[in-house]
Amino acid sequence: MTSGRLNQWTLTADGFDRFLLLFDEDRAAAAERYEQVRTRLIKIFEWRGCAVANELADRTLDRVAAKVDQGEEIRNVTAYCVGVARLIHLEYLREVERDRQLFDQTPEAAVTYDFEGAATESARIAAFEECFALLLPDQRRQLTTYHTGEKAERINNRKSLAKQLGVAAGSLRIRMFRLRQLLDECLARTLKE
Amino acid sequence: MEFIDLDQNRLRHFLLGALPEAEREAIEDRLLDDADLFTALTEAEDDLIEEFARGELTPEERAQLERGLLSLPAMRRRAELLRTLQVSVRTSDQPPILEPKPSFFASRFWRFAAVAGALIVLAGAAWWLIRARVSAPRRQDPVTAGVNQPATPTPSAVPLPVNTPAPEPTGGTKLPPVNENEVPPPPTQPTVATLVLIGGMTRGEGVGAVLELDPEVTVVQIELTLESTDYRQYRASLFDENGRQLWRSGVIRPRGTAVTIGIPGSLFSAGDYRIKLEGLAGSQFISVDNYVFQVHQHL
Repeated sequence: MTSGRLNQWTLTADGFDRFLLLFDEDRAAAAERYEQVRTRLIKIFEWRGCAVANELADRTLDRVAAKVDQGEEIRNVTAYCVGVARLIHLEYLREVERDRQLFDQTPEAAVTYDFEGAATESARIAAFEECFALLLPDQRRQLTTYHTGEKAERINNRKSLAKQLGVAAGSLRIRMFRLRQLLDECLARTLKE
Repeated sequence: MEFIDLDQNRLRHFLLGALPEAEREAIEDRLLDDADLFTALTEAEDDLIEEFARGELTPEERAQLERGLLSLPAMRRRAELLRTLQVSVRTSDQPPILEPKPSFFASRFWRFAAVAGALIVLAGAAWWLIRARVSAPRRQDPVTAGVNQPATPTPSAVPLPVNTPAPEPTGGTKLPPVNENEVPPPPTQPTVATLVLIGGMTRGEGVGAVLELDPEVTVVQIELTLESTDYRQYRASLFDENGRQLWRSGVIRPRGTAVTIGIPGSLFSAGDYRIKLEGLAGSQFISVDNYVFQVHQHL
């Protein structure tokens, strides 16, 4: 693994091991925690509107690992990661600005979301229905129930659904997230065709 | 969670990019270690995207979300998916199905009974087939079949219908049937009705265009011709004769001198309709034209 922007620094296996063990003394638990921290860093960057959140999260972790490898003593690895993530974010903003100037892009008044994309509305609805029909009946029913109703009604629907299925609200949310992911992938494929 | 007053409102502001930087950083400082906070934020993110897709956000929230989270392609796809799901749900006649939790008898006992019943039926069928093979001669030529054949008793308990006709789909309803073992039906093609509307007409000029609508139409594709192409992006809204908004598109790009939209067929019944077309100027939509038409519904 290289340290990305850290000028030719090459992280050694031993260095990475030492970095990993900062998360937990148990190697398996440390790997798990590392993945968890990576996921959360990705979300931090996403929540700051960064287009390449995955890359920035990896850059952050590489930078911290390189510091460990160079002998820096880190007491609180997660706090350190957040601090480095902040620096990486500033670098990212500078890169974006530099690219913008390079390509002479004028700032837009507002980024307005294009629901249509390349597909027409009817094509999208047709593709969606095609994909939706591929889900199991129970999955379709659950997804529909989960996303139906105004705010308060929706909350009640979700509570009832979780109760019916005998799962916690969080598990239901993850289940629905996965179903939406399946639909999203299918939709992308179908619209491409 | 150590945070004081980390309520939904604050989480939303964090996600919308509307918190002061110091407060934002304070939340981020906790995020890697606080699982509850992380979960709460991902839930709030789900809610925001959903509310955006449903048009429930205030204009300010909407603009903040578009500048931030929705500038990311993945988030846009998520919003698009939810919006399409909403359209699909709205066009369905059925309310969401919240099945009552089955009672003990309805679940375990009857499940057991059903399995036992099925086993008995299968055993009966197997017995019948074996007997038929043993007692009946091999399959004969149809010409000779039935000649000098001993009548094979037909056991009354053999159900096994081979070609049970599938139930007809109910018009317009997209929600799946309740049968748990149902094999997902093959995808059906939408039935599309098309209509071309000319811009520049005022309401006083009367309702010229008529859409003859068959009940099986799932999508009405309408081409709105433009008097001039002053905008790069448009938005269309459908109103009924009482001025009630029934549907609104996302942002649409024109193709040549027309904008094409697709509206779920089930939103229409016989009557007068108006489509309002708006063009995007900067961050604001400005009214461009109105298109009126009539729907005649065929039964």
